[in-house]
This record gives sequence, structure tokens and C-alpha cells, in this order.
Amino acid sequence: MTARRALGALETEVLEVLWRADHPLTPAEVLDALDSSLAYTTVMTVLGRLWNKGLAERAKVGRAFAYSAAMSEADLSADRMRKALDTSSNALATMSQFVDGLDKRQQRQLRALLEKRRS
Amino acid sequence: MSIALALPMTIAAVALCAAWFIPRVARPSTAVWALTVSMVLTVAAIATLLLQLAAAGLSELPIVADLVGWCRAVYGGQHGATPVVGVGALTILAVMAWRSVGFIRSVRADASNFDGVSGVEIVDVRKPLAFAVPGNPGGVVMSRAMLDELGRDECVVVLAHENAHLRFHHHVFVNVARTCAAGLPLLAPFARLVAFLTERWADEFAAERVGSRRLVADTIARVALLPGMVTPLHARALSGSDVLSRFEALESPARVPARHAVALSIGIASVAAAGVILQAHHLVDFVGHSR
Repeated sequence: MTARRALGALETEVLEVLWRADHPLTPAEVLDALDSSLAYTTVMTVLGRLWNKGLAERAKVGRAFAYSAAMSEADLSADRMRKALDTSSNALATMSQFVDGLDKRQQRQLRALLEKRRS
Repeated sequence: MSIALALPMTIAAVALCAAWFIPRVARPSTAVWALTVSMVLTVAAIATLLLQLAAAGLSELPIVADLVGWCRAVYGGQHGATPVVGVGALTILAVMAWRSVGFIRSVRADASNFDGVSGVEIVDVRKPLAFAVPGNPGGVVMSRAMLDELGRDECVVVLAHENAHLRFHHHVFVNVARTCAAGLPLLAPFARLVAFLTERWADEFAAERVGSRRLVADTIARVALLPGMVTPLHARALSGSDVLSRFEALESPARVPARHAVALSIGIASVAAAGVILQAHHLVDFVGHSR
């Protein structure tokens, strides 16, 4: 399953590992957390990319760098998706979003469910 | 028309109807597989049936029979397919193929909007957004608004959910199911069910990753209730992700992987496959029978 993975998917998995961790991780620790047989250099490359994008911070620990997630510092991606992300465009509607919104009635139902759970 | 001709299609259709109930007993991943396979087999059974009707019907025309070198005695008069039925079957088949190809083209065109995505991309959009972009390199797009609103734990849930989509190639299941539905509009509810179940599958994966179903449920509710998330009904017509059902499913305990559910799914798919093979065998038998 994890033997061959697209580079983009790998990057998102590595970021998830950094986000889940409660302390900065060295590339070796990231490799361990990834449950896969990736090359050490691949993980280094991916961590370097995340750092370049401002999605990760790093600090020297001994001879290696340790990486941690940096959510607030993240660079915004270039404008190349601007057209697709325009709300009037149809392109966005075709992507399956994490949550794709509720109408007013469903929002009320969801609030009621949350209320019921608290009580 | 002889009943034997329509039997395989009926078997596949029955298998498909049975698969509709799989989500109630099986985990989302099993159900996605069972439904997608059953949909493909149903379409295959119907396509081979139509092909056979077309071949049988057209063979009644002496000119076609002579041209291909078919023996006129095969099924002669038994199948009851007239040239009119043959032409009709061919037309339906052509429309199905046309609609499916058109759908695949539109999916490709929509996906090309996100060709530039590589890894995690944060975009400056006011709406809270997060979605996976399949392909190579592919990745996940999140909006600044989403990141700013969510806490760290919630961000992990969102990212794990999107990672599951990429990791298990959910877009393949969804697109195959939708292509089937494009060819055979009766299958549209099944395609929506498959899309919904891939969301459930990703939710379950995220819950496993963060070790809490409650946290995933909370995150879904949080995001759904963020300002800017109210969506008019028509905009969601295409999507299969029902937030309320996902929330409620996560509130109940996880379904243990049940062997009988997996066995049932495999059984259903096998029955449907048997139907298609029977039909294809008929077809090959018929077409291959020359003087």
C-alpha cells in the first residue's frame, strides 16, 4: 500500500506526522512514524519542501535538524489556482471537500444534536 | 425474447440491490468496494445484453448475416429479436457510451484546474476549505480561513481525513461509480452512496489516527457551523457527503470488522460477476458462430 506513493500525498502525510507530534522530530523519527519503507533521503527532501513552504520550522539537534509544524507562518500558494478557487467557478464544486456546508435547517439540526450530547 | 437472455442482467441487478444494504452491516471501506464492483458488473451485464440483442436483431437481416458469415440457423427465430430491436439496442448502447465518455472528459477538465497542486497548499480564500487533489504529485489544498479557525488537533483530523482520500485512492471509486451512473442514470443513487461512503471511510481513518471518534465528530460539526459554510441546497446536489449522517455515525461506536459482512460482499460481487460472464459467454458464442 505504501510502497509507491505520489510525492504530494507523501508530503501531506509527513505534515500530518509533524502536526500530531508534541515535540520536534528528526527525519529518522518521521520515517519511523510513517509505517513505510521509504528512503531516508526521500523524507529529508519532503521535510525540506515543507520547510521551504513555511509549513515546518526546524532547529539543529546534534548533527541533524528537528522539524515541527508551523501553521501560522505558512506561505500562501501562488495564484495559479485563483480561477479554480473563485466561488463562482464550478471547479471547486467538483472537489470533495472536508465538509461541504449545510443549509440553515441542517445547521439547526446539527446544533440540536450537539446540545443533546452536552446535556 | 427468451428469458435466458435477460437472466444475467437480472442477477447483476439483484446483486446490486443487495449491495445497497451492505453499508448497514459492513465498514465503509468494504461497502465502497462491494458497491463499486456491483455497479461496474451491472453496467457490464447490461452492455453485453444490449450487444447481444443488437447482434441477434441485426443477424435477422440477410445482408448482415451474409456479410459477417453468420449461420442463419443460430438462435433462428428463438431469441425473437427483430432488426428493429437490434437497432434500438445499438442506439441505447451508443447513448450510454457517449454519456460515459462525456462524463470522463468533464472530470478530466475539472481536475486540470488543480494540476499545479503539489503537496500541501495553503490558499488565501475566505471560505473554510479543505480538499484532496488526486494524481501525481497531487496533495491537499486548505484555505487560510480553515487553518486560522481550527486548533491543532482539529487540523490533524482534517489532514488525516484528506490523506485517507489520497492514500486509498477514493477518487477512483467515486469516478468509476459516477461514470457508471452517467451511462445508466438509474444508478445515480448508488454513485451518491459511494461518494458518501468514501467520506465515512476517511472519517474512520482519521478517528483511528487521532484515537478519538469524538474529536472527528466535533471537528466535522465545528467546520460545518463556521461562518461562510452555509450552502444553498442546489450547490450540494452533486455531493454525497451528508454532514449530519457522518456526525451521527461517529457518535456511535465503531463497527468491528465483520467477517460475515466481507464474505457477503464478496458473495454478492461473485454472483453479479457470474451473471456477466454468462452473458458474455452467450455473446461470444453467438458472434463466433459462423457458417
